[in-house]
Amino acid sequence: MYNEKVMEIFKNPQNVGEVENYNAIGTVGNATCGDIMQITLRIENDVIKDAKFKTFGCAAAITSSSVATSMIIGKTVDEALKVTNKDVITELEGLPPQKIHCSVLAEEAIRAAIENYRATSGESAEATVSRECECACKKQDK
Amino acid sequence: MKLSSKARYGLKACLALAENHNVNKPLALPVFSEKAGVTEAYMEQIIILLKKADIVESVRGAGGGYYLKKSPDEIKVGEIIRALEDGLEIVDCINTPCEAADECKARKVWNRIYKNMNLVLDGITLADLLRDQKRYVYLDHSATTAVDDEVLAGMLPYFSEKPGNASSQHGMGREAEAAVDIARKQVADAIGAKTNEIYFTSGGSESDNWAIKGIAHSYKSKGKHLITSEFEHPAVLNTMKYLEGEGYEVTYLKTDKEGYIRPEELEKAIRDDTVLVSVMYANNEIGTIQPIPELAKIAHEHGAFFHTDAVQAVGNVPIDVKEQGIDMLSMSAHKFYGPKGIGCLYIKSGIRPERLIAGGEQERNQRAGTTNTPGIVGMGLAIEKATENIDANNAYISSLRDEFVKEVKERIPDIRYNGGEKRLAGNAHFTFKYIEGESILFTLDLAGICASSGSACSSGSLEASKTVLAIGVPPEEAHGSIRFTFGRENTMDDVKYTVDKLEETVKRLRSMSPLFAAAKAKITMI
Repeated sequence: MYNEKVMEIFKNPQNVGEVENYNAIGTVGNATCGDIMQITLRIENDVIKDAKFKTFGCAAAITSSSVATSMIIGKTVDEALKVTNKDVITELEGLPPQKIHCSVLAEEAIRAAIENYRATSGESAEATVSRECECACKKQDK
Repeated sequence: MKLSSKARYGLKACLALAENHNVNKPLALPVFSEKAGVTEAYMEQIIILLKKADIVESVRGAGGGYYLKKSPDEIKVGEIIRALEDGLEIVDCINTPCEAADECKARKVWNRIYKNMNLVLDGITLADLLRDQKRYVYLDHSATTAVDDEVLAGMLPYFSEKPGNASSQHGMGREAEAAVDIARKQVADAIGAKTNEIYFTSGGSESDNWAIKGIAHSYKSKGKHLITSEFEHPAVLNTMKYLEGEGYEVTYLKTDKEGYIRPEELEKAIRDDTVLVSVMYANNEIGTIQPIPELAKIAHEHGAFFHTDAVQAVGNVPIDVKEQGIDMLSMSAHKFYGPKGIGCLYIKSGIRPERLIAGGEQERNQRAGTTNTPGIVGMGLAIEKATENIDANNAYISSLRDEFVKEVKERIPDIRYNGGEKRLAGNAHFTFKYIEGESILFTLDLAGICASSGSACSSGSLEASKTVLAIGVPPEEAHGSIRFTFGRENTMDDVKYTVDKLEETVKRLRSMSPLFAAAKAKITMI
């Protein structure tokens, strides 16, 4: 169901972990839905110097996190906010329809981290921004 | 009849060239002579023949050598062997006119061997052989099994040499009918039924649909209430849903935390207007074996029929429908080393569920459709083999499973082992906390290990398994559940390899998981 590009990235995901001295952190998703994505950033002069992720989730969630963090390193905060889930999918050369929400999660994690950076003026990253996402299992269950 | 050493070394040489195919440089003669284990002089004789057959090409001069003219997936093993053996005619009369051909009874045998030998060799490419070098450990026997070699050999004649329609009156038809009769007896004997109680179908799903819809429709004057369990296979659950749409009422019995449907729960749910109780023999995810005789007894005490989806159990658990009070039982051949697309419904004589498939008069006018003779023959052979050796097979398979479970529990922390002790011999089911099942599955898959998250029918969906939730695994953990199902071709070495890879996989994914980090941080703080 996954293409070769996704499987390749899944074998060797980039930017796994937490940025040392990060000054932005965003966490989205929840365990009941089966995916949580946490992105940490080091932002200096409004430029993203480093980005890393920790993800609980399927292969699509892990590969989306990998490409999303790679895409924003070196970008300004404003440029990073323009990265959408479609860009993530393009970078992965496609995702199965039922996995599209994983790319949405990556977009939201970036936004959450940047909101956190702005809320704390880059001083500290203690005020973690967490966002609940709409997940398929919640909709189906009720 | 022996292949020459030329053919054997020639194939090895071609494999060496195939491995080198993506490298943009020809392979030197000394290199692949050594790989094949023969002298250069001998290899040169082989190469001449391979060049003549347009399989290999040479490059002269310094840095020269040999390469394959086509890509490895386009070169059939048959081409190579025929080139080196000067054809594979095993007797002189093949492909040459023979005056005695019409009277010669033996010629038919030689021709058949010749044809099949070529079919086998032409069905394998060099690329297939290279791929086979990868190690595979198949631990998904609850999804399906490979057809047993003896079973396959028994089926093959009924595809083309004995193609008769079992409903035809002529000799070929009678030949097929006789084979079906033998298989029907093999299936009946395996579950303690009579031959006229076995109805062949396309498999487990059809059998479940027929049993449940058929009873509901035929006996609706008695009542419109049915009882099943909450963790049935979708073939049962979705059939029940369908009947709810027709105005039937269905009660779904809850499982206990070990994965068993308790008879007292059925006792509470059953009513005077209950027409059918359907509870699976063994659960398809956690492998727990249900108290079938007790459940059947309660159903009968209240005048209801008892059906069991025994797709996971047949061939793995001794079943006697008469002793255990089973009125209807569904099974599917591919779960016990038989072919896919064939199954049966046992219906106790005297019970008449409405027909599901209208048409011809096959299966004593109860199930239409041209008799699947090769499938039925295969199912008969497979069930006989599985039930004859059931104790020995189970002892072996459970020894592998038990070792696996013991090792996993010892080496991997933060796990749950799901389901009670009374379960299928090959089934092990774990929940690995802080990580997600699909990524576990794909990481294992990279190491050639085939397992399953949830049941095969639901993998690819985003929901956590209903069965895993039903036995009380918290929703936030349920996503990390994996089923391993061992079978008779697995070895203790497979167990060791899988435990090693599983330990690595869980560590790797936990190192990426924010949940694991959070849980560990909490522990350190305390």
